[in-house]
Amino acid sequence: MTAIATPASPASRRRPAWFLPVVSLGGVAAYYLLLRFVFGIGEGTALQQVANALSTGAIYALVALGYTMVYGIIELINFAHGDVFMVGAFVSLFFLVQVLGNTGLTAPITNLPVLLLLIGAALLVTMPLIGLLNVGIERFFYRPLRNAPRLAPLITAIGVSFILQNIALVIAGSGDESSPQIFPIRDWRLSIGEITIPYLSLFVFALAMVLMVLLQTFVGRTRLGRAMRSTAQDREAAALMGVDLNQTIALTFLLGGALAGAAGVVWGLTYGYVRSDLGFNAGLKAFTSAVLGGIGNITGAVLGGFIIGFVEVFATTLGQTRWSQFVVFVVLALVLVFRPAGILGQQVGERA
Amino acid sequence: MRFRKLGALAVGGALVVGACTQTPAASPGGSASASAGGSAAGSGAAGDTSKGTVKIAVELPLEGSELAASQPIINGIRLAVKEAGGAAGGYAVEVPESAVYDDAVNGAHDPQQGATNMQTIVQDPSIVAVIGPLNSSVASAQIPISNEAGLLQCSPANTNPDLTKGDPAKELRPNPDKNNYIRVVTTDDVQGPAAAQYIIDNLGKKSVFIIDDTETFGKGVADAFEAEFKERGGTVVGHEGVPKTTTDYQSILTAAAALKPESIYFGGVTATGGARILKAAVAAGLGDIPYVGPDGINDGSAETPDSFLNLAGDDAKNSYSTLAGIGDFPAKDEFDAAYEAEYGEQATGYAATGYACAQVVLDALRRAGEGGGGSDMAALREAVRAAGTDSSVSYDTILGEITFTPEGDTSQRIISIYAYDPEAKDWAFKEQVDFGAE
Amino acid sequence: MTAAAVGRRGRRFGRDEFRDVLVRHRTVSILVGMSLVGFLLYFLPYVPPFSLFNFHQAWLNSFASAGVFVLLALGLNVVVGLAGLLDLGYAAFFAFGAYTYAYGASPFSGNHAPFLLMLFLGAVVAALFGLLLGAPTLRLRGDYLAIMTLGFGEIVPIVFLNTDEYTRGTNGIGGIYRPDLPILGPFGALDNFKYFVVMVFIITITMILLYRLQDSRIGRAWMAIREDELAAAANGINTVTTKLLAFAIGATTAGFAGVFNASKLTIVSPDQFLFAVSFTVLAMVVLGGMGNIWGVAVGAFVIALIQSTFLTQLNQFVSTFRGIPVLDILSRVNFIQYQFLLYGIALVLMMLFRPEGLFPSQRRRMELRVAEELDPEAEAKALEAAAASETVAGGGEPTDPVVVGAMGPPPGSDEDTARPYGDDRS
Repeated sequence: MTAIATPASPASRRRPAWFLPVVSLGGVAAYYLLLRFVFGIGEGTALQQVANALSTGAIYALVALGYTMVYGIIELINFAHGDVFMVGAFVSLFFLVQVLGNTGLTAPITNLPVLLLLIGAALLVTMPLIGLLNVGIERFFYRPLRNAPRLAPLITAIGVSFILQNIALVIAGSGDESSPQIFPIRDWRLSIGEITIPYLSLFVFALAMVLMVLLQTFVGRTRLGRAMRSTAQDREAAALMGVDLNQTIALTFLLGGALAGAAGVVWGLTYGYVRSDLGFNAGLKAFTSAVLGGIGNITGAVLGGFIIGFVEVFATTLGQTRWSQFVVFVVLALVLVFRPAGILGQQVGERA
Repeated sequence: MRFRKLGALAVGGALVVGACTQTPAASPGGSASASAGGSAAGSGAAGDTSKGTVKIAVELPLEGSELAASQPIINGIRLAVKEAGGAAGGYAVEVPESAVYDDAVNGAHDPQQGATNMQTIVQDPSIVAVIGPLNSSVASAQIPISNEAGLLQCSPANTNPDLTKGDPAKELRPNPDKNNYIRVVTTDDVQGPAAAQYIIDNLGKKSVFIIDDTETFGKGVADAFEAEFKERGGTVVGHEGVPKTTTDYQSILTAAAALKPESIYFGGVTATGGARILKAAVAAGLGDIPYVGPDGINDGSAETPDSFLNLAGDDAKNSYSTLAGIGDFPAKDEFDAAYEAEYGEQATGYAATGYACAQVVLDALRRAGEGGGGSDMAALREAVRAAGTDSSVSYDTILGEITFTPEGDTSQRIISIYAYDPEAKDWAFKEQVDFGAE
Repeated sequence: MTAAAVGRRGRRFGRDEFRDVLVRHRTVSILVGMSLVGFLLYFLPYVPPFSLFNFHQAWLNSFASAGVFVLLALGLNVVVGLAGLLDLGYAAFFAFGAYTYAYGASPFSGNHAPFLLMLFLGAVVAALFGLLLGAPTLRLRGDYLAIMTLGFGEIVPIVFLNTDEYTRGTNGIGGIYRPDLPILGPFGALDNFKYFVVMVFIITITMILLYRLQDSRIGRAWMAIREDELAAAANGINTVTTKLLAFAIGATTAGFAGVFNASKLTIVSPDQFLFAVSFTVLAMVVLGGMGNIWGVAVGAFVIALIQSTFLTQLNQFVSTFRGIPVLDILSRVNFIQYQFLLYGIALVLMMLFRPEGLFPSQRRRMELRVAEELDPEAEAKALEAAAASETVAGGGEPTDPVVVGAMGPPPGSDEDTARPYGDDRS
């Protein structure tokens, strides 16, 4: 098993490098045409919905990466990961409120360099903090149970999830907290004729892609990344070859947490609110994404995130929002029953 | 319950003693319908308390965002009791902390907990009536119990029509002939249509996109709105159920914008997405059309934490809300002044309806006390129930003259319309629509 | 031999014999035990401090409501504790039981079937859905199962919510008929004693059935699967059928709970069956001691009472401090709001420090502590104890977790972790 599959790993060796991007692009085009001509959605709306799906999907993908990497390396469904993401959104909110309060800036910020600086700073603060939070969770709650029967860490993860969610509930209350939307979502729009798409969607998508490419490169081409992959493949063998297991697993949690932190920043920019039960709702969908793509597979998690984003937006576009969660879970059920290893996961027997 | 009493005594003792030792004023059976005019003084005369002490229980969700709606109700009730001199019908009346029950579990109201609370409340012989709950779903779990126990229940906030009307209401009551449930606010089948009427007649908008939160209150009021809007010749371009667990609101409003509605109606409360949907609507380019919601979004000024206006900020510029109740009741200024003097803050939301419920209960107790009433608490409870639900009696409450239908609905079917005032950053009363007695 | 030694041995003998008798005559001991429990519970509220906290009738009501959670926890214990499958959507089966009763006996449906018939039907319907969910998913390995059940638990309330025409949607089905039973007669809203009696009765029956199952071939197969699925399969156990049965039995019990709760609350609505319920019941099972029927029942009962009665009373008690300096802060603490935080902390602490629960089953305890028990003497003792407590009625057990742990691959690669995830279809 190659739990954390990368372009360099055997899993995708059989597919040429252009395969996935081309298929994805084709999928998006098909989606657009489906909305446009089969369901008769207007040109502008269909395009806007594609943009919405891209930014929603990007957030799911970022969170899904944390699920998939952790699963790949210690085979644990880290139920708390969605709540780690929620904490990230709160940290980002708190940071931005502080900065705005102390500098006299007001959202939205229309000065591009200042805006980018501020977003960069939010990422720089949130990502390491949330990464460390995730490492701490691993160190104190999961590591002691690494050799326990499987049910134990799984139940612990659910417990940690509820602890995080309820600490947030106690501190922030059950209502929404407004997150400063510093990116001018209303005014900065890409105009194609009558159609306008907020640049924010494109920015979020681009940011997520950059982070994912960085992650791929790290896992695929660095020494530490190789240690991660070897640990995922065979923990004992990796340990025998001199890989420091604890360090490698901690690194995995750090990276997963940092990406969840980035997702938290992006969340605040896009939706402008944070709430304590956010981690449960969004986390569930992100987890579904990871399973859909093939859990343990980095590319798969990204792909899964976008697919879930597109499925959700599809239900909404047709005016069936109340069924969207239902649809997402039915997709999950079908995948698990008919292709449990996910879209990009390997099927039984592929492993030598 | 002794334990609780002890706790209450330990602290509330000072207050109770204070009230008791005041020289009894010369108004035996101090009228519960003490007009709000005299309320500004804030210190009603202590009445005749020779027949003993009774309690009014309060049952509301006291956690999370719902506490913001519940606290003014409790304050209103206590104010009414205080202004009545803490007595009615020869009984001393208390609303101690130990008789305030919380039906919220994990941050939100819970029918099961509400039922458990009601089982406890009906067991306490010194409780003659209960005021609450806030949520209709809790009421449907409680009414079977309070009805069987014959305990007068007055809700300051329930608006679901099924609680009083038609077969569903009859099914809730083990003794349909002995109604025990009354409410001082009118129902969603009035509040929803009021919004429809306002949008078409006053705002001049002929089409609407409806969003509801798929919950009991939100969906109920949105459905009633939709029916009336169509009835009046308006076009409903879409009606979307959006559960509060939704994460991506942007695509919903993008889809709505494509239908080019002239207005948006939101059925729900702030906690289930009122402000989030508004923000997404503005981002989707629907910021210039009216955004109308029920009293679920009329939950305080921009300074109230977690309120609709607080979360929506400037995006609320085209927002309107309806309130199931009378907005400029005759004694509003006196009431507001008395409330502020007592609690150091402005009266919001359901403070006045809580006050009115307490007035009704006190008046029922007064009439029950006049008709005899000794130490037999079971008989007193039944007498209060019979007096409180008597549809031939007219109550002089702070909301004005009201009577109750045999089912327990108020005769006052008035809906107030509010609009956002960017200057005050608060809801400003626009007008009220009287749907007349049923 | 000194007299003291004889005495000591005699005492030990006595205890073992007593345990032996309990195990051999399990049905009788449960009947006696539950009657005793019911009897004690009825009089408990008259005794301080209980009598100070609440009224007798209100206590009985709380007991009956707590019984619903006891049933749920007993059922989930079969799935999680005995068969070792993590079911995170257990509230869905509770919902099926409740809605079945709502259709069987309410003005909404126009039917008025007898309570006992509906109790049976509700359990059957829940079990059928258990099979329906289990059949395709139980082939999956454990953690996929957790996710599938979580998804199922999310979907079921959504479906009940969105199909208004058949379920009255968010309003729920109200005015459900209360039971009318022989001897007890028709039930009213305030007949807490009758509900209490019925609840004790249902729990007794459930416990007898569950103990019989646990001591049977099926029970041993569940435990074998829990301990080592591969070894169980190799020993000729049909793992899918056995797991499916655990699922169905668990669902059945939830069905009982659903019917009872619907008949008591007289309203069912989708928001009664959210993930919070599944989570609460899981916390009860873990705290009580996975695999130990009595432990789980006691754990569930105590937690449910704390939740429904104690925390509320605590809130009201501290609220009387309002206005007093220093204590005022305490008066603003809302203990109910903290309950899920407490559950979360409890789950984590239990898993880290006492995975076998507060009232452990001996066998489960050994299994969960397998990595720690390296001292051979302690192992031998634990083995002895386990043999005494668990296998008397069932005869010899084929597998022994300690031995597997000690002789097999190093602990780091216990059966599941060592297996590649592609294996889930094998």
